[in-house]
Amino acid sequence: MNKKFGRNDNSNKEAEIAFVSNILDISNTAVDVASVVGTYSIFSQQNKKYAEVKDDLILYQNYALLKSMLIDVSRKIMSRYHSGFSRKKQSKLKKHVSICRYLGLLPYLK
Amino acid sequence: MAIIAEKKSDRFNLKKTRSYEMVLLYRSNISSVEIQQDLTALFSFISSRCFGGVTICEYWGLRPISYEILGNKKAHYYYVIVEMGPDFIKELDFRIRTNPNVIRKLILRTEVDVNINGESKFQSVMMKNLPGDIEKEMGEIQCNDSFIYKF
Repeated sequence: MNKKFGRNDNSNKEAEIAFVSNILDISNTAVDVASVVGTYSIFSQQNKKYAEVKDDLILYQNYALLKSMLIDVSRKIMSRYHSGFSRKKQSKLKKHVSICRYLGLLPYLK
Repeated sequence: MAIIAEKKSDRFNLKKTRSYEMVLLYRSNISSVEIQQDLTALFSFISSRCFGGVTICEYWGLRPISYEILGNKKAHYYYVIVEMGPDFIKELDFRIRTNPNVIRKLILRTEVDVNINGESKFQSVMMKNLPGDIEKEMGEIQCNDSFIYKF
């Protein structure tokens, strides 16, 4: 099974492919199994979309971009585990989101 | 023995000049003439009393606020860049706080290169994003030319 808070290990991919190929009987087809099987899991660190955002774009004037970092339901800031930010970038995000909330560009609550 | 200061710059260390940016929110139930008068009074206060200078004054429009502030659901957003020393910020802060037309203020320190000479004009990030803003397409943001400050 996949490890909780595990690193980006590729050792589990072969086990997943072998497990799925036994079920689907894909031995006679030309399909690449790796393209069909999801190589990411819930507990890995590959589901992070916002880690590629540059540091210069995190400003209180780019409130539309910061709005995507908030959770829709509660309007809270996304945690570092889900966003993939470093410690420095997350503190900068928190600072500029608090400025937006003070100026009225973003809400505190829903 | 009387100590006489030959120049005002000797008393206050005016060689230090830093750039600050301000965001001012004015209440929505106000005319453009009153805002122009307030801003001229404020900028003259900065030049005379604080020994500073104003370089840029932008108007971001009449925008809706995400929550209510003193009975206002919309406000006029102004963005100002000021160059002055650090000794007079408290006086400027007090001057803006006593103004009843201003709802919120924000003063931050920045390091901005403003090229006034030449064709390059400074535009803040918000002004660059305004033409493609979704809220403007929906009609919630209103930009009238009468509210733009003219030096």
